[in-house]
Amino acid sequence: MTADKWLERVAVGVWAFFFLVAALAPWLVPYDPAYVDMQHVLEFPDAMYWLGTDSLGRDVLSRLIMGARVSIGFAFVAACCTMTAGLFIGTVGGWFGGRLDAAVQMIINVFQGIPGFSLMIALAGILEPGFTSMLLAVVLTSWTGFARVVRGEVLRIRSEHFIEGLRALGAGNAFILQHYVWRSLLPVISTLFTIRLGAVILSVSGLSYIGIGLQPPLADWGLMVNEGQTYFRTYPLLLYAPGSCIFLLCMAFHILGESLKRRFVSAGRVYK
Amino acid sequence: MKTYLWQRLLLFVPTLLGMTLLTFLLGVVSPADPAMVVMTMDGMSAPSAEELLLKRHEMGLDQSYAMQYVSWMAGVLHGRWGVSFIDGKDVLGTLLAALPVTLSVTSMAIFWVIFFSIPLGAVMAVYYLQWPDRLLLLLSMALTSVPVFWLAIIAMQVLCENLRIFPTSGYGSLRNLLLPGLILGVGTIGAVMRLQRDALLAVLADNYILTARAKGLPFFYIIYKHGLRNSFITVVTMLGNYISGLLGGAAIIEMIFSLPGLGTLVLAAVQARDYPIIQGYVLMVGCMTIFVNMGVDVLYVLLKPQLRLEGRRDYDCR
Repeated sequence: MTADKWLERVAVGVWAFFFLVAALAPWLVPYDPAYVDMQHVLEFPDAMYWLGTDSLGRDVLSRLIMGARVSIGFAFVAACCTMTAGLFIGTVGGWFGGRLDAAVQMIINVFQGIPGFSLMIALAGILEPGFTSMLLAVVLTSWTGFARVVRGEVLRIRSEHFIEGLRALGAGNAFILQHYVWRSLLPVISTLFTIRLGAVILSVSGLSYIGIGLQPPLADWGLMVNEGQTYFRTYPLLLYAPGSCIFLLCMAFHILGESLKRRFVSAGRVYK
Repeated sequence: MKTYLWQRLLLFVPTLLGMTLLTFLLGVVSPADPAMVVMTMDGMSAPSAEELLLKRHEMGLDQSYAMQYVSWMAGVLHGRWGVSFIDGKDVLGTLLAALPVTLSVTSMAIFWVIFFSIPLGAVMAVYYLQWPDRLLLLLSMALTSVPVFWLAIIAMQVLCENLRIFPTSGYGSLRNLLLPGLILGVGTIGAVMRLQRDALLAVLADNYILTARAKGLPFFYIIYKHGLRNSFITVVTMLGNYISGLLGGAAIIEMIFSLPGLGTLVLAAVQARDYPIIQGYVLMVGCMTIFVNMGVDVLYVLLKPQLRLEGRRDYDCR
């Protein structure tokens, strides 16, 4: 298991690094990421511009750092919204059961049948592309993953004896949900949350790449790949730098999610 | 068995209805007024308010949304998917013309997924927790984390321009589809590898495998004859869940490899604010996804009749 531990530590390190960079971005950037300097267009890395400049003379390093803030920030907001929606709907279905549960299950089925990425494209295309439409698209297409798992877990917990005991002691729905049900959902939720963060970053960068995600002058990594692809034969860093950032961060989230999952499974909790 | 199949297929009715409702709502929230667009299509006329009102009445836009949905739905069922705002062509015809390209890229991706995932997953299960398993596990995570558009650009540069293994662009022969299909399938390959590993591990833990080994059958014979075949059912039926992802992801791949498919069409429509095409795209991809899932359900019952009474395997968490 030592190799796994090692991998896990690296993943945590990568994650922490990106998170810190994102949090401290405004103080870390050496230059204004949006500042266009036509005197220094497409420069190779040197002491002044550590990662060179892009086709508009903007500092690549500054844009990468700001890109971390944009990507991680958006992923957090989107994952939180997704989690809240999934948690709420899943709990309603699993806890109250009956017709309500049937309705919840049907809605989940409907949304699960909808092709996620295609709907994201459509929503971004029909509403104005930008933060809000992206958020709506991501939440609409991914809340079912949370809701389904939460529903299953709540259903399982509901039938346990200690819940009956709590009821006998006079505890109400809200009290039990808040203190017992949601608390025991924490491992499952945190695992799904971590995996979701990576997934959001990946799909948002894809949408930004094709020009319907986050819009310029925001420094998004997907956008940077798009802008860099024209020149990358001579200036490969313009493509490799943002791409490998997306890759590394998603991979870190993935490894973390997997190890969380494994930890909770081995701790005797049912994951699925 | 027949009644069970019908029951399963009936479950798709609300899904289909929900999907069409959502598509219809996309049209409702779109900022364009269809009457205005139709009347100004020639680029010369500026309709008066009365003319516009008359046209809106004629097109049924003054009715309630419920009524509009019903008539829209009737139109969809009769093949009237609207006309493009840009060139005035029939949406369904335009989409159907692009459909084969997307279908062939997606099929190619599925081919690659099966081609790579099944053997790699089997290797992982056989070497469970040993170094090949760990290495491939890492690979599978890398494959699901890599941004495909980035990989596509690099692969194009290295494999097409430097090494000249694949043609860079164009559509027509199978050779043109090999690379786009592979890149499109990359994420799914990673995910299905894991599925295959877990499915095979589950089968290998069964008692009859122990019996087979006790009988002295060669290990690889057991893996092939008992293990792979049984795990295959699980994996094939799970493939249905990835179809929608592949169809959506095809948009990026088509754009990069300049293939004239649905994705290229819809991305151009997004740029041009051609809402009927976008709407039709969602409807078409949605229907395809649902029909594929229906097919998978039928397949599941046919392949494993003893599971007829249990539900289909739950979707994995994505």
